[in-house]
Amino acid sequence: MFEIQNLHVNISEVDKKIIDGINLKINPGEVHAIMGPNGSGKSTLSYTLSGKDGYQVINGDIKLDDESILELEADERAAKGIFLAFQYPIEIPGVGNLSFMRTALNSQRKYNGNSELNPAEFLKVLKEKANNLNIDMEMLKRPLNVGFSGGEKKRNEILQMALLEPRFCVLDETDSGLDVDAMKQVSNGVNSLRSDNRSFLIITHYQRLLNYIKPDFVHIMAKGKIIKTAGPELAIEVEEHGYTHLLT
Amino acid sequence: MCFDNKNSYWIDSFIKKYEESFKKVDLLDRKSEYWRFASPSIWYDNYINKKLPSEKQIENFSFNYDGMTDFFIKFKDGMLDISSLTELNKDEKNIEVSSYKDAVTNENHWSSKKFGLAQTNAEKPYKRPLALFNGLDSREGVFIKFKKGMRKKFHIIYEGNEQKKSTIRNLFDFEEDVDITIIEHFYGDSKYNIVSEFFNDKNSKIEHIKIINQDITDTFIYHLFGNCQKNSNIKAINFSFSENPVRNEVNLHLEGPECNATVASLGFGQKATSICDNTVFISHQEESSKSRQIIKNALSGGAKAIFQGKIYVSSVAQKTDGYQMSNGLILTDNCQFLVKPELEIYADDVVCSHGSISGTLNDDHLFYLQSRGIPLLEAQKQLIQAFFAEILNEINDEKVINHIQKQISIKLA
Ligand SMILES: Nc1ncnc2c1ncn2[C@@H]1O[C@H](COP(=O)(O)OP(=O)(O)OP(=O)(O)O)[C@@H](O)[C@H]1O
Ligand SMILES: [Mg+2]
Repeated sequence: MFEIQNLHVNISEVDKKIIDGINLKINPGEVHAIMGPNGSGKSTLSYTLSGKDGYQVINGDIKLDDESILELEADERAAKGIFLAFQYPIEIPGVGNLSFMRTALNSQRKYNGNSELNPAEFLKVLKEKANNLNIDMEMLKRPLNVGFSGGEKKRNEILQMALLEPRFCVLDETDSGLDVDAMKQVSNGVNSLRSDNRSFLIITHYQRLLNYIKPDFVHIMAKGKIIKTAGPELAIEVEEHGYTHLLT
Repeated sequence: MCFDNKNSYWIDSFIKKYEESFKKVDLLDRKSEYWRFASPSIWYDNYINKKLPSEKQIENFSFNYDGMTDFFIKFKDGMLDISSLTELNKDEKNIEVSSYKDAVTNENHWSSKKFGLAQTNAEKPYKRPLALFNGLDSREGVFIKFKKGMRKKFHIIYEGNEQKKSTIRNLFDFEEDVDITIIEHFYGDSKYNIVSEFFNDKNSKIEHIKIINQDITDTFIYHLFGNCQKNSNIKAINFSFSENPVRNEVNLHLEGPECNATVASLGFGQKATSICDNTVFISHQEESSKSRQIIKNALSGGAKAIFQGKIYVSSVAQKTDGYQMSNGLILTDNCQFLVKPELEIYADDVVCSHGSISGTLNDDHLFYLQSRGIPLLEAQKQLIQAFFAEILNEINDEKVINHIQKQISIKLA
């Protein structure tokens, strides 16, 4: 179970409070969606969960299976099964996609006391997952995200998620910039990962994604707070009427 | 001074000339721009007088040559191993190879018509005193003529055991249409002052890779002087892992049109004793030549790197395309990357650009890797390797790349 308790977060660079008391309980197997106006703090929340430097938790706690993860480094949180699909995946010239993914997978396996995969074993696993997401293996021979289109970068995030098989997945606007077919492939990819012991937090601006990935709960976030929680029908309401009436 | 005291040889006039020039130059003229970032005493005094404290390395840096090369030439403690030339000599239809000694004592040797020409070209505007000193002091080296159209890849190994002063003079004559790769490896307990002259004839394609291992225990000075004719292609790539002073001077005279020249250097220093100095001069004398200088230094533990790079374009060298880029990766804040890029252009229709960027590892890159489960230290390693990738991409010999990767990994361990 993943739990956010009374979370308050400052961005140290500007010493400004962005997350202002969030509570959220996500049980294994559940899919939660977060919607909210630009600048409401959704990405800030996702960075805080994954342990980025500069996101200072000034109050509250984040717990995985009743244990606080606040003291864990980003890589340890990842190895414990927390995954963030970035809103803006970055390009890293000089780091090969394949060697990066293998290092990531093996680092996590090592952390969890499992044996590391050799290059051949790794490639076999990767090929299958890439195939499901319609990702060309040739593309993966390039440096990390370098020269990838916006949609390709997003699909590459989901590929990493499929490969690393995390327990708690945060998807930050993975649907933005995807064409209709890619949206279906990505949704299928996510749906095929849905299981009783894996949960999702999906940040999106569009109800359409939630047609493909059916959430159990939809939360509306504004000014660093969750101001409303309901079922999937809330996303439809937002799509039709916008946020203004919820904010007042 | 002359070659020996018994006979006179053609080399004697050169030795005299270098001796006189060397006396004349004010080596310790610290005001000279040429020594702007590193005092000449670092190089000269260290080379002549001092012995740097030698730290025996535990790692074995020797190279596994199995199946790697057609042949190799070997120097041990600065002395040429003559037996290593025999394999080369078998191919006499395509190659003429002599030791320095045999060449300079033979009145009719082909090298007597070339010797010193490339160095003379490089003496303007700076006399390059360390190379002058090489000219008067060297008695060892290898002279090779590669005949028209031949292709070959070979290694020159410089092994040191005694921390001896090794002054070596090489001369490579590349005839038309040759395609040659020379890989020079330096390892062990030794200090060097090497001059290699390159004569690159029309349409020749030359790749020169130099690897200075981490276990080099003392000062290292290398001058590459190249004369390049029409449509020739040269790539000179330097890899330095030394924790001691390294001065790599590359001076290319693009005498013919349509030449293509690349000078690249990767330096990785982790101690305050480490200085990686690239002093590069590329002179465009004719039309339509291209040159690139790509310098990358990763620095930690107080290490220092220097890049003085110049592109010179003569008034007739229209359509010159010159590029220069240097990057410093500063891993601890007591390090310095000192850069002096220079353009001197007398033609009007040219494209020349230069830039220099120094910085630390990118936090967003680190976070991305860590967010996938890669521990900080490993993430840093990956990004340092990535920083060097551009230089490694310049070569395509897998085994050489592996050897270099291994040295980078040892440093990162
Ligand atoms: N590094 C930073 N420095 C200063 N302000 C920041 C920084 N990061 C975020 N902010 C501010 O924090 C607020 C929340 O930003 P955040 O990116 O979390 O919003 P979001 O809900 O993800 O928006 P969007 O829907 O546009 O992606 C914004 O006002 C933003 O300008
Ligand atoms: Mg956002």
